[in-house]
Amino acid sequence: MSDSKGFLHWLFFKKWHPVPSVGSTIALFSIIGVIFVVLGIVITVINNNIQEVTIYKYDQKCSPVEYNKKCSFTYKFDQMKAPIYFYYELENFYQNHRRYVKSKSSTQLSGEEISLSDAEKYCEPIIYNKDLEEWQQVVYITEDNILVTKESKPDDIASPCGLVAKSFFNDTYELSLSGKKIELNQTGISWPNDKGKKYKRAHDSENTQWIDPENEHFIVWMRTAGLPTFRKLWGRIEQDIEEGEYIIEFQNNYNPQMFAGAKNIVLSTSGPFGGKNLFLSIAFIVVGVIQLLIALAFLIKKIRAGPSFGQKNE
Amino acid sequence: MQNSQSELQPDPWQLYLPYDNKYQLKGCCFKTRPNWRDMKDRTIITNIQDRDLPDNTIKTCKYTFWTFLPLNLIEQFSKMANIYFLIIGYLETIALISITDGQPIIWFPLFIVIAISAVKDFFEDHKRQVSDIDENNRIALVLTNYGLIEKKWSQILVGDIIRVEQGEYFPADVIVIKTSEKGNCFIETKNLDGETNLKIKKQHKSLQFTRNLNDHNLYKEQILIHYDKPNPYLYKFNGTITMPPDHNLSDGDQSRDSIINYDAEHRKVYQLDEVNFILRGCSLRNTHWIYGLVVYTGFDTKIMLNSTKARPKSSTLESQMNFFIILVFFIQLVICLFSAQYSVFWQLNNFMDIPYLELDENDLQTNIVFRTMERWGTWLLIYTNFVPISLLVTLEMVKYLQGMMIEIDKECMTQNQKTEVQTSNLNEELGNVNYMFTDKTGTITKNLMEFKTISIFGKSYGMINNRSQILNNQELKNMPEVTNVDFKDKQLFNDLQQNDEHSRRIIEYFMHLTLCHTILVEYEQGKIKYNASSPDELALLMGAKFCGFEYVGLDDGMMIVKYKDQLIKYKLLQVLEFTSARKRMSVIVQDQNDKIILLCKGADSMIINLLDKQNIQNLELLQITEQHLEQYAEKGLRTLLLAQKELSQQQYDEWITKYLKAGLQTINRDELLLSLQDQIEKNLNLIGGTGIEDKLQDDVGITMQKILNSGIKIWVLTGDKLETAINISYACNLLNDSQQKIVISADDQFEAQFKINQGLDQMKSQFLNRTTALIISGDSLIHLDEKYHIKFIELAKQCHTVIACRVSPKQKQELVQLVKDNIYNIVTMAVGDGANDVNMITAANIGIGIKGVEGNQAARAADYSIGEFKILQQLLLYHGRECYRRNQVLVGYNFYKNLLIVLPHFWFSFYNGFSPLNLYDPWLYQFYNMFYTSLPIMIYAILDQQYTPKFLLQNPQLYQTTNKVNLLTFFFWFCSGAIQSAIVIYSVFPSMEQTSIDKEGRILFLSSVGMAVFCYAIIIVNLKIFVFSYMNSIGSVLFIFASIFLYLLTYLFLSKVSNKLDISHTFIHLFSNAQFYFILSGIIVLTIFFDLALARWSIFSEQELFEIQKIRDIQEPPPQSMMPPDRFENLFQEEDAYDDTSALLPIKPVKNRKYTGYAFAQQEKKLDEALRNAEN
Repeated sequence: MSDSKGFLHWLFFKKWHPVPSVGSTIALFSIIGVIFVVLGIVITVINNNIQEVTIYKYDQKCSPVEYNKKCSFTYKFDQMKAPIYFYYELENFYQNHRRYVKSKSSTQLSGEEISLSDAEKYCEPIIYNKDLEEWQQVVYITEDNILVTKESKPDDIASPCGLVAKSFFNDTYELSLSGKKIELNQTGISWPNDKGKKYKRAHDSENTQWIDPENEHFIVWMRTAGLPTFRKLWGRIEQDIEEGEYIIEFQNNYNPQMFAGAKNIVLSTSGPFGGKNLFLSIAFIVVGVIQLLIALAFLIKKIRAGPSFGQKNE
Repeated sequence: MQNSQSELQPDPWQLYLPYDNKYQLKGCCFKTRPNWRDMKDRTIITNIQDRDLPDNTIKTCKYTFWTFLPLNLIEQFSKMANIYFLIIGYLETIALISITDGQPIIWFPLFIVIAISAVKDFFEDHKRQVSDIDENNRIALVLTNYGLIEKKWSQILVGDIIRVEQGEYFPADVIVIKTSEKGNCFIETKNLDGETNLKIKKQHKSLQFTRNLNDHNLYKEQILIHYDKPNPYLYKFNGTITMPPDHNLSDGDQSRDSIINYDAEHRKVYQLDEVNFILRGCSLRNTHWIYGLVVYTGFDTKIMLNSTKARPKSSTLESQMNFFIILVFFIQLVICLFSAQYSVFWQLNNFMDIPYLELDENDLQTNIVFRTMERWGTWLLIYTNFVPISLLVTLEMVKYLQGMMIEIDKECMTQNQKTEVQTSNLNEELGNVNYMFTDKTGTITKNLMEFKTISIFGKSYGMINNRSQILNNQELKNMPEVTNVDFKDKQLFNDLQQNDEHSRRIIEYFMHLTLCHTILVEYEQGKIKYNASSPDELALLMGAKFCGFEYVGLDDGMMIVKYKDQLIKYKLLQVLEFTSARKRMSVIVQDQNDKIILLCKGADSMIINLLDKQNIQNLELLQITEQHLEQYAEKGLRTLLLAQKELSQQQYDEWITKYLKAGLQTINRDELLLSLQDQIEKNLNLIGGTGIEDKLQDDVGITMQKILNSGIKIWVLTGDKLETAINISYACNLLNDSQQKIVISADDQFEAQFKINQGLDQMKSQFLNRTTALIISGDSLIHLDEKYHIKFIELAKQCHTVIACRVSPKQKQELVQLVKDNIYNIVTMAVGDGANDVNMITAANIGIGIKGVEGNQAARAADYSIGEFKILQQLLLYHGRECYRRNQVLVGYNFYKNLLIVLPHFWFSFYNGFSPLNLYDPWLYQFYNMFYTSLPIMIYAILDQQYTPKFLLQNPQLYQTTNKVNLLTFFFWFCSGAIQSAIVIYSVFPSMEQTSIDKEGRILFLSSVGMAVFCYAIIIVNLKIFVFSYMNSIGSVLFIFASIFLYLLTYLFLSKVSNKLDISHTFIHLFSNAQFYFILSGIIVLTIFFDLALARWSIFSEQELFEIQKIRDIQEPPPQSMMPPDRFENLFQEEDAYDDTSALLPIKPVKNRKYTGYAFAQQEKKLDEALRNAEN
């Protein structure tokens, strides 16, 4: 008993009472301010070394704009160092809407069968095969993103069901430089552990599902984005690319009018802390400056109010 | 006797109905106590227990084992917050709006909250139960067929005869049957009204025959008593006693019926009154034993009927908090409404752009009201935690633990008493007190008089200022063993041995002391014991004994004094009793030489006028003696003047015949007697004065001074006389001569009203900007009507100190109530020690009971019970202030932390058209309040310390510097939470979602970024504790990081284990990402360090203020009473053994002090009683 009392005493009653002084406060905030400004500058430098190319509204580059057709255009890239990440970016697409986010069945996606009531509960309003897009009713998309035609019963529960799955983004891209194809590695684009665990193909996938949930493009899509303008990783270029006119060929499947926005392609290299993050560099400098201003305010007050400001009491 | 009979109920026999006393049954099975007004008068027969009446059990606990669960649940769900969360839980089950998959997840924290409260209630009630059992299980002696048998108090029934021994408490209200002292007995009612003088109670004349009965025969007696129904009037008892025709009615089973059937002719009916009646809670004094007939038991006893039911008390902070919760709830509703509307309109406006949501346009337009309602419901669920679910329970737990901290604080303990917190609800209220009401006897004073100084024929003794004059311990051992004396002046004993003129005068003086009093002598184990109704007299007599003049007793009309082993006898001729109008008493004695002497002692104001003005020596002596008396009074002593004169036989004979004749008069007898007393008490010769110390509790002066300095106004409410009250107030620093005083002591309405108006006028003119004290008597208060009550309060509001004397317990309560009702926004605190203070204690916002030497009634009724008055310093200035500061932070912090977690949804909604989306995992979200953010703030609220207790006690003005809570305080926290949540959202989403790329190029998504927001919120909320903590301990730091760690652990677990949650496998996404840490550091600096800057700014500015305060204090020197007089310190620094408590008494800069400390505590006796004494 006395031991535990001693322990409690040690834990709570050996107090220290830091009495802040104006000097140390000014020092603290100045140091933090300086650190942040410096970090901000460092991040800015790093950001500047990261290359990021955005091809806006690539689907408009083909003329005429047709859907479900292959189309290609040329685009001039600067020299870039591997790894280069290939993203598609959608503008004004509300993947973060409650109705949208909720409309999926995690159980079904993890490879289990779900009852009709569950489907109704979770996947509303896309419950049956007939609720899916027409093309989705007649294909099976494999793990490697290859379309296989098949028949499905319209009144079966769609698998995967729900709005998120239905709106699956199915444009595909190919990149080549003067006839030489540049490989876009599409494996490992989903987060670790998602494939095969959270997203798992069902028992009789080819016959019961319209897409293999282990398709990584699908997994990336299913992880809904939080902002209405979002990027999703489509592939990785694992070789340096030279400067040149590249041909980008794409299957223009996804109609941007469906969401009244735009489809963009983003190519980005990465730095030591990941991708280009302009926000971070600006934020750090701003935060640093604020801290310096605080330090300054204390300093001015100290000078004006004299020694009574921050006099120690005890 | 015939007369009194006719006033009574016509015939008790006829009134008696067998089942009159039965309680009515109400409802189906609950026996409810009817109001006492609805009860019937009672008729009982001695030794026949009335089993229809309740037994003597007292119950103060709320629950029993079986009723605990239902009653407690009802109580818990009478709290609005709990109902709110219950309803929210129900809403969560509606799939349409549910954000938790239709599970009432909120019920989980609600269950914990309720369970904790229930456990706390259980233990608190258990404590009460234990004390009830304690009281009920005390042992009393009850007369039965087999003689006296020990029974528990609870088993005593109406009709029992009990035996109470000296010093014991009465277990129930009883009628005196027989006593050890020829039918008389003395009781002390300290427990009931705080008066410590003994009161006499008598056996009724008709019961005299019982004196010769032994227990066995007494048990056979069957006397019928008819008396009033239970009532709360303490000093009223009405009843009749009806004797059986034949007392010696012998054996055989006398059933009650047979007695009732007595023939009307045989009865003898006598009136019983208050003098035959003793209340529960009194104690028996100076009487070896008494037998009493139990007439009221348990809840029917007068003291229980008198006790006001303790209502639940809550602090101002809590009511402010509750108001703010309601306000927050309304803000929440407004935001919900806004969000829902926005959401619906957004969908309508952007309908064409969001086909992938597959909305039904018709449905949207036709069902717009329903859709709005649906959205509104969902938003309500998302915003649920606007109302902090854990706030109430956290606060409750924290206060309970704070209470424990108070209890284990060594500074809050006296040698044998510790502070007990009975209503921990009020901890912070202690830091917010505006008015303190305090009782005098037992609270400020120890109710112990000490013989301290004397002035004999112009020479003062006892005011020692030379070390050599002090009796050392060796010498003290040779002195007679006495109590109530603190006199160590060697000079007196030296002078006494001189055998000169002066020494004769000293003898004369002490003879006066030993003769002029009304003390009775008792022998107890061969030792003399003085039985004094006045503690002053006792001290004087003890002082005389200490100096060698021992009063041995009254024998055959002779007062015997022992001096130097010699017995000197004086014949006691007359005692002219003390009355408050006369302010003096005299005795007339005849010494062995047949010289008749009148000895008189009394207030200086009285005695001066009675002195022989012709005698120049007398006047000179008066001048010196008055000076001495003033010195004594400055030290807070109670002073008396002693005078005497010789009477010739003829003078006396003339006077006594007139006096005795006057005693037989029926008209104007009292006035006649008084004027005759005045006649004889004149042309006196002064012989000296006395100074008696009314022993204050330790450190009362300092405590009072500190409490005054802390800005609390002090009211002293006492049943004592005006002079005593003023005197004590001087002694304990409440009054001093630099103050203006308004005295209202009026006998009629007009005078009282006039005085109050006058006081108000003076306040506006003369006394402006000066400290003022108001002194008012209870009688004056009675004369005031409602309009003047308000005027009185207005007057009192402007006074720093109010002293109300001669107030009854009821008036004390009324005064507290008056102040509470008429001054807006204040907190009142009442301090008392006796049962007479219970009403006041329960009426005030905070009740503090001082555990007396005897009786714990006040302590039991109080919210805090302490050992001594001085503990108040620590309790108010440290614990109160700190609890107030900490609890206010705790409440604000709870709003803050909930906003920080709830409002991100609001800010985020600008990204998604206010579609109600839950950003976090619902389960982790519920853990937020319970586990991730509760412990550190609790530890803060229990242990944090802005200043050390010592420092706070030295600077009582800091009591007021804690920011007083208002709605703005909470609003500040509210805004802080709102702004910081915005900072988090608007730095996390743009930065992490759009550009935060991990090494493989993957981008974070909604669920993981949501969890990042959650994680940042937890980190900020926990680190925030550092911002406002003044103190850290290993534990506090540990728990802050443990809370964050616990979150990480649960998140990791959930993320790893489950496959079906949105947050599955997201843990690694966040924590393997360098940018996560960058943003974290940025957010911490932007929120926590910004707060830190603000906090430090205010600390530094506060210190600036404090500095100014300090400077002001230096300019205006603190009252000197704070410092002990230096002359002692310089002289006796090395000798600790000499402990003169008077050194702690205030020495003030006194200008032309007029006031001398006359006070004399003695019960007035009726004149005729005095006369009767004289005749004996």
